[in-house]
Amino acid sequence: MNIAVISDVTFDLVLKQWEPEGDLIVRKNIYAGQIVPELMTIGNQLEDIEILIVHFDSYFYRYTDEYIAQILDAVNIVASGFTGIVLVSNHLSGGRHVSVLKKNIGQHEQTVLELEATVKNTLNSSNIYFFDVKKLVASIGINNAYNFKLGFLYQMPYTKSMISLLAAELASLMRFMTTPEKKAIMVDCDNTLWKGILGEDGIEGVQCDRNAQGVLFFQFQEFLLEKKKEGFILGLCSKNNEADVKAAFEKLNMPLKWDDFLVRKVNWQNKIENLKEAATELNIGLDSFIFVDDNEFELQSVNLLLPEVTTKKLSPVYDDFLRLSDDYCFKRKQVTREDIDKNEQYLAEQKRNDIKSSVHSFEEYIASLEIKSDISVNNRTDLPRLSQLTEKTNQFNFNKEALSIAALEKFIADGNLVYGLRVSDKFGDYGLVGMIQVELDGNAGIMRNFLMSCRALGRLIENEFFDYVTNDLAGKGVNLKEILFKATAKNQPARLFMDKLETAAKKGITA
Amino acid sequence: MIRNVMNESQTSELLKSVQQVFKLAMGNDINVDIDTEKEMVLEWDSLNHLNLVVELENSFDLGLSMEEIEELNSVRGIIDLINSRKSING
Repeated sequence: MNIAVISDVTFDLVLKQWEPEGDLIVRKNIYAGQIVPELMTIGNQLEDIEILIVHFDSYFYRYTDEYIAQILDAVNIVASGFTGIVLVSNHLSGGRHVSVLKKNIGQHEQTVLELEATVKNTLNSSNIYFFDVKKLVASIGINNAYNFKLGFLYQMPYTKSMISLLAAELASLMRFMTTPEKKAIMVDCDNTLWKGILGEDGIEGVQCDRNAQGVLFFQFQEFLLEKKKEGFILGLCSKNNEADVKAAFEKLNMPLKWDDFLVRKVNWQNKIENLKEAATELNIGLDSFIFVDDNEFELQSVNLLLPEVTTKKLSPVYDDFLRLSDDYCFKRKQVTREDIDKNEQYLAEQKRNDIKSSVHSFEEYIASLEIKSDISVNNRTDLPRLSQLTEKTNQFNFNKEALSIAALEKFIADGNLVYGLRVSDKFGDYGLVGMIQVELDGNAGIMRNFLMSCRALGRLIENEFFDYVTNDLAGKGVNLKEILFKATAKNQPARLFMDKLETAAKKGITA
Repeated sequence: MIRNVMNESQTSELLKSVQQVFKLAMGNDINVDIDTEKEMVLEWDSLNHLNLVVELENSFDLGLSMEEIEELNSVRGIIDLINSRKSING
C-alpha cells in the first residue's frame, strides 16, 4: 500500500524512525507550509493512505479559527472523493503553549477542548481516522515533547523522545488499520484471571478483588468484560480441572462469570490443540485470535507452532498491564450494532447445533429453524455494516476486497445496485449477513461481488438470496451476463457455490 | 574568559561518544574523526544536520542556542561546545 504524508512541519525524522513494514511504502512526503492549497491540489493523485499531520493549534502558524475551518473543509473534500484511509493528527495542547503565556491556563484548556470537539465533529467521514498525538504528548509532558527552538529553525518541533513515540505510534496504528481485526480473546486462568494457582492454592487461596495483589487481575477481568461488550468472543484456555475452574467462578465474586466464555478449553492437553479446537468450534481463523497468558513457555510454544495467533503476556507489573490494555489488537475499527449482538448470536448458534441432533434430515432441520430473510437495495444505513463485511468475510466471498463506506456510496451514486441481506430465525437475529453488488451498464449487469458472513452459512440462504437478486434484476429488465469470482486460499465455500451455479447453467436451470 | 583544558584521554572518550552520535544521526557507515568538517561529509546535509542536533541534545543533555546550532560545522567544534557546557555546568 502506498502512503502519502502531508505535514505542516518537517516530518522526515519521524518517517526515518518508523520504517514501514510489509507492503507499506511512503511514496510522498510533502512539507506544506500552507496546508490548505496543498490539500486542494492532491485530489487527483491520492495514494492508498493519506496521512495529514496538522498542528491545529500550531504555535508558529497560529492558525485562525477561519483557517482551521478551511483545513477541515479541505480534509472532508479529500476524504469524500477517496476510497482509501485519511489519517489526521490531533496535535492539541502542545501548540498555543507559547502564545498562551499571556492567557490563563484554564482558558487555554477550554480552547483546546473546543478545538478538539470541532475537529472531531467536522471530520465525520468514516474513512477518516485520528492519530492521537495529544495522548502521546500527555504521556511525556509538553516540555519533553516539543523542542520549540528547532520548530522555529527547521519547522521540526519535536524532541528525540517525541520523534520515537510518534514513529512507534504510527507503526502500531498503520498495522491496526491495514490488517483484519481480531475476533476472539483466549485467556489462561492461573496468574492471568486471578493471582495464584487454583490447583495448589485452592479457591480460598487465589485473589481477584479490589485489594492489593488481586487488583490487577480484577481490572483485567473488567477489561475483558468491556471487550466482550464491544463484540469480542472470550474463551478460556487453561491447564486445570474444569470442575475446579467452574467452582472458582461460582464462588468468587469476580467481574467475569463462567458463562461469559463461549469456548472453554479447561483440560490437560496442550494449548496448541486447545486453540486449534477453539478455532474450529467458533468457525473463525486462528489469525483472528489473541491469546493471553502469564507463562512464557506457553506463549513461546504458541508463537512457534501457531504463529498466526497474536500472543500477549499478562505481566504482574501494573504499568505493563496498562500498556497491554492500550494495545491496538484489542481495538475495534468501528463498533456496530451487529458486534454488540454477536455474543448472543453465537449462543443462539450453539442452541441450533443442539437441535441438529434431534431432527432426522438436514432439510428437516432447516425447516425447523423458521428462517426469515429480508433484502434491501441501496439502503444507505446498511453501508457501515456492509463495509465491515467486505473486510471481515473470507469464506463465502467471491471477490475479497475491503470496501469503505465511501466506496460503497460511490458505487451506488454511479447508478449501481447494492443488495443487503438480513436474516433471523427462531433463535435470534443474525443481522446483516450478506451482500451482492451488481454493476449496471445499460441493461447488462455484472455481479461484482457476492458475500455471506460465515455465521449465516450452511443454511441454504445463499441460494435464496442469489435467486432473489436474479429475479429482481430480470424484473428491472437487466440481464446478468457476468459473475466475477476470484479463488483465494480461504474462499472454498464460495467456490463450491460457484461450481453448483456453473453445473446448473450447463443443464439450463437456475441455481 | 575561562579556557577549558582537556587531557588526551578525556578528548578521545568524548570523540568516541560523538562518533556514536554521528552514526545515530546519519547511519552506521558514517565515520568521523576530530578533524572532520561539514563539507567533507556527503551525508551531512540540512536534514541530517537537524537529526544531528536532535541526537546531540539528547545524548549530552544539551540545550543549544539557535546560533550554536547554525554554527556547528565540525567535529572539533562539537567537542569544544560540549566541553564548554560541561565546565559551566560542573
